[in-house]
Amino acid sequence: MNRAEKQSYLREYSLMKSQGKPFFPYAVAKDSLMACIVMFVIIVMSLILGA
Amino acid sequence: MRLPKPPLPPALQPRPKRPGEPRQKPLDHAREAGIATVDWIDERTSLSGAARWAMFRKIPKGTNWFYTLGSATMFAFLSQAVTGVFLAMYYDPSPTRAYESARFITNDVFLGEFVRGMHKWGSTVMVILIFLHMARTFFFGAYKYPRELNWVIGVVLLILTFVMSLTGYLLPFDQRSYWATIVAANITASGPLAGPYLGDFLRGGAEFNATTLSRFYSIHMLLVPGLIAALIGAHLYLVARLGTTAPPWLKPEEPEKLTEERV
Repeated sequence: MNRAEKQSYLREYSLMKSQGKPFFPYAVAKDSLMACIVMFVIIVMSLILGA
Repeated sequence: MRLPKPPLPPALQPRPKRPGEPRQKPLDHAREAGIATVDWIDERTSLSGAARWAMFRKIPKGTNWFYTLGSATMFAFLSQAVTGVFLAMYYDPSPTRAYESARFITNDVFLGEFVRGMHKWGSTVMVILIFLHMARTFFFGAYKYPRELNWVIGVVLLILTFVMSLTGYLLPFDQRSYWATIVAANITASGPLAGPYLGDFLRGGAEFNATTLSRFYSIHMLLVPGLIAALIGAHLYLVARLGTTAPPWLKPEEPEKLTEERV
């Protein structure tokens, strides 16, 4: 990747970021829900399948 | 007869109520105490700036549920760390006591089978999540400039997770884990150049012996978890520093160009 391509990517990325949302609370809410799902799956597997 | 209370120093005396000021409830006191504590810490560490930088940074548009796989892997690791601590309270890494202590955890300790099951299945879930996260990173092109270093750290984290799986598999010290570890150590030893040395390092000698178990236990408990935690910290810092990639099929909306007439 040459210098011009890097500059072009960084410019495009900063535009995408400016049109995005803040990490808190949008991404944090999704991450928290996913963490709950992961914990639920682990607990259910432990209860059903045992050690 | 009740003795008079000792006088309070001025700093500890309650503030006199001002006219028109509403009566404070216990919840208000608790809130003020919380704010004062955070202020005290922030005055000495200036952490609030870093927290604001990490939490209120913008994420690119189009970020979807695939982007939660990284944090899901981290939560699986945290679950492994917590359940591992509880298992370590009862586990004995000596060849004569290991199997018996694992059996004791499963059959006699309160919720022992449940915690051991969470640790066992949590490791499987963590490996699956790592591969899904890696697939998302690969197919979304998130390994490219400027995130190459984060990809390398992720690959090292994958290898360390495999080391955790390998070393943890021996710890129950039953027939299955014993023979599986011998096979794994022999496969490692058959590798070119460093293979024989790595095999000897894993076994603690040319043959499987009493020190193999304690070696696996110390790698599993002390060495690799610390490395994983440090590398997760570096991984998260780079994610916050460089930002997550936008989905490759999305393009930004170009801002309206200012023309001479509009200026």
